[in-house]
Amino acid sequence: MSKKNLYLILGIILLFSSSLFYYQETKQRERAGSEYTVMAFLNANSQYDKQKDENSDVFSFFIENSSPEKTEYAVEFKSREKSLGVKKIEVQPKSSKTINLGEEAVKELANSEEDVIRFAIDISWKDKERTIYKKIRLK
Amino acid sequence: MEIILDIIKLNFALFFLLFLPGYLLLKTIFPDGRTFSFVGEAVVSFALSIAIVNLLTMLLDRMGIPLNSLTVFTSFAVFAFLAGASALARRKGLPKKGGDQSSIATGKGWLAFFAVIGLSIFARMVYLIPKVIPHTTDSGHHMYWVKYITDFSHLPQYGIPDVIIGEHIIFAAVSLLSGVSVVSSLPVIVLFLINFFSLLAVFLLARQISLSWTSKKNSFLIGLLALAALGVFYAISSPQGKYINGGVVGNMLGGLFIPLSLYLFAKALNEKKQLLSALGVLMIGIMAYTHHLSTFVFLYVFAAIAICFAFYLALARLSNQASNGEIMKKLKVLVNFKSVAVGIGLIIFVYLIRVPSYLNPSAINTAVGEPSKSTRTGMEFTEVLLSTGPWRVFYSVAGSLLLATVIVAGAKKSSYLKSFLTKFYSLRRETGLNAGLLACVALLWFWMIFLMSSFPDVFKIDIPSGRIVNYLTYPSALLAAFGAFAILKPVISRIPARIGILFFALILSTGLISGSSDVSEFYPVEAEKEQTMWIETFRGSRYLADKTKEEEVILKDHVYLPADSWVKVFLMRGYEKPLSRALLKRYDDPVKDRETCTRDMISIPDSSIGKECYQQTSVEYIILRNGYDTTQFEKSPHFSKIYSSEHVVIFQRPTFNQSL
Repeated sequence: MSKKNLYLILGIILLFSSSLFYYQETKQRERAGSEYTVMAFLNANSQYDKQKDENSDVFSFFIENSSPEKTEYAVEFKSREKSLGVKKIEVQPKSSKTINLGEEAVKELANSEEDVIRFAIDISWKDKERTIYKKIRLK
Repeated sequence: MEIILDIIKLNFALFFLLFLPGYLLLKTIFPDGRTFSFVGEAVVSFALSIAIVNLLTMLLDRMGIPLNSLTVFTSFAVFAFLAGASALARRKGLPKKGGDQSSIATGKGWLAFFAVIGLSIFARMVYLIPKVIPHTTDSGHHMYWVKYITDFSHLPQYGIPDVIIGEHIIFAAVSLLSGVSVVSSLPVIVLFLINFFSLLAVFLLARQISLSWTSKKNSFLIGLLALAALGVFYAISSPQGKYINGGVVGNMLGGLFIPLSLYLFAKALNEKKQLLSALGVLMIGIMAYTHHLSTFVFLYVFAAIAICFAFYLALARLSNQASNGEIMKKLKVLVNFKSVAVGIGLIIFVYLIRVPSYLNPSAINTAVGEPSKSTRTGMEFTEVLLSTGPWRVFYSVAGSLLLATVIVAGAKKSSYLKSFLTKFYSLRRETGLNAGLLACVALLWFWMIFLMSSFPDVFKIDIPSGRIVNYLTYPSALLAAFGAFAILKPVISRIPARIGILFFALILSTGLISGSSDVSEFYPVEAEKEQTMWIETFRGSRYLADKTKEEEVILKDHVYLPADSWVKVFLMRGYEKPLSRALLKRYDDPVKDRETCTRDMISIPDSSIGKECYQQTSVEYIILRNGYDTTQFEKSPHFSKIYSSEHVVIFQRPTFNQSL
């Protein structure tokens, strides 16, 4: 067998191997990335200045629906263990939705006389439920 | 469509950087095209390309040229053009070759060769494909530095001796040129290629050693047996499949450069070509730029081989088997102007361009001396046996006996031994000193590492013995090939062909059975769940990278969080960031005091010790595996849970809580 042919065989083997690794990794990522829901606060900051509105997104959060199906989430906001209301939120497949907790929630908190409050969001969907919560210091 | 484009770009970058430069330079150095067989040419081109990518990138960086896709492409295109033009010019004056003089096998031989190659690749793929998403600890550490190069367009100054620049440049160059992120299958692909070519390097070495005393046909068979012993049997265990997956870059490169440099020296001796020795010196130099432990182990092996050479040549001289002139000629093939010039050139490069980070007294002192821990005092024989593979060890002993016979027969006027070897192993009539010298190489490569891993105190080695014993895999495969040959050859040539095939199959099948037990052991049962967890860790890391500030301190959990070492690749805020809770046994170090805050801040966050640690370290964010050591955070009044996915959660200890 000539060197040229041998190189051709070796080249094809290695090309096939590296391509298969890359292809498999991409596919696995797609599949693995389609099995979870993320809920998190939009802003990690835990300070809220009553005088300024610009940092009010400390109360905002997002839901990321990585599954291939449209999902409806039941979301309950709580402040100091008191419910501020329940909302139904639909999130399209492979996308996320940011929810601002609305002026009412901000007003409730802005009028608080306590320095630090615990702010929680309970989410339930299908047979699952989860909570995130944040201690926020009001200035 | 996008995935196809990525695959094309990635394969182009691999070819352009990890094959073409070395191939063209090789054609310039050896324009006749006959020096190397197809396998030799392919392996040397690959290794030489790694050398060129490293040296040229370090040179660009030293000149202050930013490292990006344009500069990488331009510099390597210019190099390829110059090397290609020079190769063509050198080839012009040479007579046209008639046929392929460098062919080492017939059609059937190549069929067997590619069958073994196919099996080797298949065994690795079965293991690697379910784990191809990057997630392992070592690869995370290394890819941080690779991303540093691609993000900041210059080489890092590590400040620590544990990592070496040669471990990162090739990945960074491929990533820059292809545009493929390091958080992908890129590390596995490059390491797979390194491992693949290291198999071929052992094939070449086995063939070259045996060529010095037996027929071409037998040499090819011994090469194939070595390929099977390394490529097919125990394909998953360290330092192969597990190391590819684990991202153990330095060891993998050592696994390529050690056998390849030995092959080049062996070939230089067999063909009396000084240039090959010079190439061998270059390979050792590049190994020194890529891995300290491999270089360290190689130096011991090299010293042992040198002593064996001295004894062998002295014995040959005393028994009038060789004249002073012959001995000097042998030595001159190895130590000559060309090899010394390459060595000096590398030393100058080290001092003018870049000094490897481990070349400092404190780093050397940590590796040399009396063993300081129980894990460094040597391994029991059974541990060595299990780590190297029982089949390989058994046949290595048989191979050692055969090669010892070759040494004694070559050094002394022993007509009995020579006729024994001629009768059973087709000893070539013109067999000279090389047979014994190269048998020394095969024997000492194995036995020196065996002794280093079993009795490190004798050699003043203060390195975990488990790390040294991994270096036995390659030489054991080489010796086992000689051992299998030693048993097969006399029997097969004296019995009917059909029974001979059965006997051949029996020996190989025992290797296959013994060597494939690890496939079932390491095949993940819950591959899909693991993949999801790795991706979720990436997602959580990206959240932290986006939502937190550079100066905010993060703590992660190495004990339970999957793919945790990759968190820093997303953050890119320093190699030591985020802080990490290590495996719990690491905190009980008999040699030095370890900090314990990283442990206590997760294990007992609300205790007085935990609180004090939070104050001291200013840790604000903690990323954990959901449900694993998270209860104490959920119960605590001081923590917020600001991020939650199926498997990953992030807690926050707001700064206003730090004094609580």
